[in-house]
This record gives sequence, structure tokens and C-alpha cells, in this order.
Amino acid sequence: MSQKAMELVCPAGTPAALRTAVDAGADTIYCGFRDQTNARNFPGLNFSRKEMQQGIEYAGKNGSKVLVAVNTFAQAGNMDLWYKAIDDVAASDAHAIILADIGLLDYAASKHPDLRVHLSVQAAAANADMINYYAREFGAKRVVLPRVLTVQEIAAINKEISCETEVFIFGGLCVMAEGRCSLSSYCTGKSPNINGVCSPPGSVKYEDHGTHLESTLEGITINQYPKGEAAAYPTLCKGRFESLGETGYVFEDPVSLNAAQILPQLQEAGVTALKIEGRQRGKAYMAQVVKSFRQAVDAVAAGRSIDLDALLAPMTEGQKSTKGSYQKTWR
Amino acid sequence: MSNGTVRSFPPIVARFTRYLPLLPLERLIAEVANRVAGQHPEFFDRLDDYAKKSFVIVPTDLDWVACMTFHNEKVQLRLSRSLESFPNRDVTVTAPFLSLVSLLDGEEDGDALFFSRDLTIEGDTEAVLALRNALDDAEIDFVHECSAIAGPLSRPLESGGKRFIEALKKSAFMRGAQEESPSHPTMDGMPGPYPT
Repeated sequence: MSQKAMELVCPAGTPAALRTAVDAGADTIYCGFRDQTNARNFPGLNFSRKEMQQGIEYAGKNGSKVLVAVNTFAQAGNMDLWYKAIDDVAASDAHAIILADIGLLDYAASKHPDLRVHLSVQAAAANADMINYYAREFGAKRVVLPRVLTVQEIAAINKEISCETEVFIFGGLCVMAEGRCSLSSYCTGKSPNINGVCSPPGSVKYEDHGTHLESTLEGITINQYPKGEAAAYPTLCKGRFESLGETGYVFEDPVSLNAAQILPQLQEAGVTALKIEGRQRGKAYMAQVVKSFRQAVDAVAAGRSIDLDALLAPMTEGQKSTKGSYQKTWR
Repeated sequence: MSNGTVRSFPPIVARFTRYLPLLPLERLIAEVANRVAGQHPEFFDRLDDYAKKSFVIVPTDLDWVACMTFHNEKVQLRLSRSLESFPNRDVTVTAPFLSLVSLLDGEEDGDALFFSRDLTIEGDTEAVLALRNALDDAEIDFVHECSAIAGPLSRPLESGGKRFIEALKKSAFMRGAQEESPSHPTMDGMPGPYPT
């Protein structure tokens, strides 16, 4: 039996990536301004105000919508950068703004009551009481759920809240403290939460030693990959360290989330929107991943299923994937 | 489109390119690069201060390396037989030639090539990210840009060039680097120290 397809929410780090995502079938594209107001503040990435408006127009002409992420936490004494970003989103034709900082949520709700607000994953709202608080106090219409919940927990939350839920289905995984992780800050002084960068590239070095590739962060060895072993991002949470006489991944393995196989369960759990991670990725990633999930989401809505694992494997970190917390077995 | 199968030229091609005169090749590539740069002024905006850096590109299956710098929104290019010709380089990007072309065309994802170890980067990581993102946004069509300098012959050259590149990618003549690459396992539970 056919039912309404879940919304496919796709990343874009550049105008070209946005157009690629739209052309590949994204319902919604999320992106950010070229500064530390968004959690993917990397060199050469993101949008000027003019590029953002052009992207919104391109998406609109092709039946897609744009969400603007202002999802870092504002710095005391330097609030204007974040306020200006919110004002500019409100003045644009963006469908919604994605916020995490409770002060900025209050600013948006007070100054721009008509601006549709989505709660970022960075807010780490992982239970119905928290979500209802954000919906009631700041008018959040949708919450992006942290990647710590099982499908059963998501279904339970959806029964107790009035706003929509959006869940990640593909891409890089964070250690389980989104918006609160200080690993990168501890090592480099910069974090995704405030500066928009986890493992800022200025602190990252790669060195090919012939027998192995070494990645370091601010001089600290993150990993050493023997020849032929798949590599991963140079983040501390995915580092391979020696602990208690053993060498291994003490926080989490370098793998990507791939929830393609459980899309029907997510639909059954009442999820409204499915999010693909990866604003830092290129057009090729957008084209392949978005197109694949477009087919999969439509197939699920039509009561069919599609196996995407082999198709998407090369796009995954460490060339491995997991269903993550959705089917966690370790608790 | 990335299919996870990276292919390299066999060693005979590298031996052949050893005898190619570098100066005309250098001028040809520089002309193409500057034509592209002229058509994509936003490229320099995105590259920002990293335009002051020097980028060395190493095609692993050919016998030359290229050093690219930028000055007044113009590309300056030097070719050499040896990486040691550019001791002050800020960035070194190493990959098979066709992977570099696919990356330039936006048909391969840079991170995916990095994960599979088909592409390595050394040096200033900020600069290489800025370059990658600026190139990705520029929507470059490598064969089209190369053909365009041929004037009236550009259209047949472009269609022939594209057929040739596609044939090369599929050809048994090319060695599949992926043959030695790791498999793509799926992990059932959350990996790491947690009991699964």
C-alpha cells in the first residue's frame, strides 16, 4: 500500500553541491553561511548571503526547500554574528532555520515569530520532555534527533510530542554527546560547538611513511593506517589509541551510519524527515547518495525496498557502515 | 560517478610520458587552467588567502609532477620529473591521473578517494580543503576545457576525448588499484569497545 514518502533532507557545502542535491531529488537542502555560525565551518565551504539566496531560488524553482543551519553556540561578547545570521535567514526565502543555542532560539522566537525553527541535533534533545519544552517555549516545529536512540525509542518519543522529528540516515557519526563534545577543544582549542570545526584542518597533518599513513591532530597521533587499510577522518573520537596495553578504537570505530535497511521501521516510528550528513563532501557524494536514497525513500513509500549497501560503501568513512544506535545491541 | 574502482595507467605509460617534452605540456595545461580560472572568478573568492599557497599534484601513474601557484587571479604552472624540484611546496596531492581528472570533474568524491587510500594529501590541510572545495564548486568539465583551446576543432575533440577517457576507465589496459583495497563490510552493532 502506498503512503506519503518521508522528506529527504540533504547537505550542501557549496552552491554547486546544492544544485546537485536538488537535481538528484532532495526534498530539502540544508546549508550554512561562510562563518562560524554553522557547524561545518571549513575552508572553501559554505555560502555568502548572495549565494544563499540564489540557492534558495534554484531550489524553489525545482520544488525543493532550503534550511539554513545557524547551529553553533554563540560566544559571549560576540553575539552579533549569530543575531545577524538569524536576521538574514528571516529576511531570506529560506524554509526554516536550524538552531541549537537556547539563547538564539529565544532571539529568533522573539524577533522573528514567523520564522520556522528546527531544533539542531547539536541541542541534543533526546527525550519527549526536552523536545516539548523547545516546541512550547520557542515554537520549534521539528527536532533533529541525536544519534543515540533506538527505533523503538523514536517511536515512543513521537507518540508524546507535537512537533515533527528528523533523523540521520547516512554519513559520519559523532561520539554520543552531540553539542557537548569537547574532545576537539581539548586538543586544538576549537570545537564544532562554537567554532564550527571538529578537528580544525589547520591542526591536522597527514604523513605518508611508506609502510603506513599517519594522521595527527595538533601533533597528537590520531591513527596509523597500514598499507591497504581504509582511512578515516582525523577526529579524536575515531582515533586508534593504546589503552591498558591494547591498541584499538577506544571511543568508536571509524564507520559511517547507513540506515537504508531500516527506512520502513523509521517510517513506522512516525519519523517525518530523513537527513543525510556531509556538508563537507563534494558533488559526487551528493549525486550518488541523494539519488540512491531518493529511490529508496520512494520505494519504501510504495511498499518496496532497495538494497543500497554495495552502492554506498565507497562513500562511507573507513569504508564500513553501521546502523548505529537504531539497532543497538550493546546496552 | 564513483564506483569505488580506481584505475591506474600501467608502468609502460609512465615510461612513455618520461619522454614527453615538459615545456609545451606545461604551457598547454597552464592555458587550460587560466581559461577555466577566467570563467570562474568565484573560484578565487572561495580559495581566499590559500591562493598564496603552492599546490603540487603527483599523478602516481605518470612520470611528472605539477606545481600550481596563483598570482593576481592567474594560474602559474610548472612541471618537473621530480617532486624534489618543489622543496617549498605547501601541499602535495597524490593520486592516479584519472582519479585526479574525475575529482576535477566532480565525478569522484575526494573523501571517498581518501578513505580508500587512492588519494593522499600532505602539507597544509586547510589549503588543500579550500582548493578541493573551490574546484568542486567551479563545476569544471576537464575534457571540455582542454578541447576548447582547439578553436574550430573543439567539438569533435571534446566528444572524442570523452569517449577516450570513458574507454580508458573501463579498459583492461588499466590496472585496478581497488583489487588490493579493503572490502566494504557492514557492522551490525555499534563498533568500538561496546560488547555487541
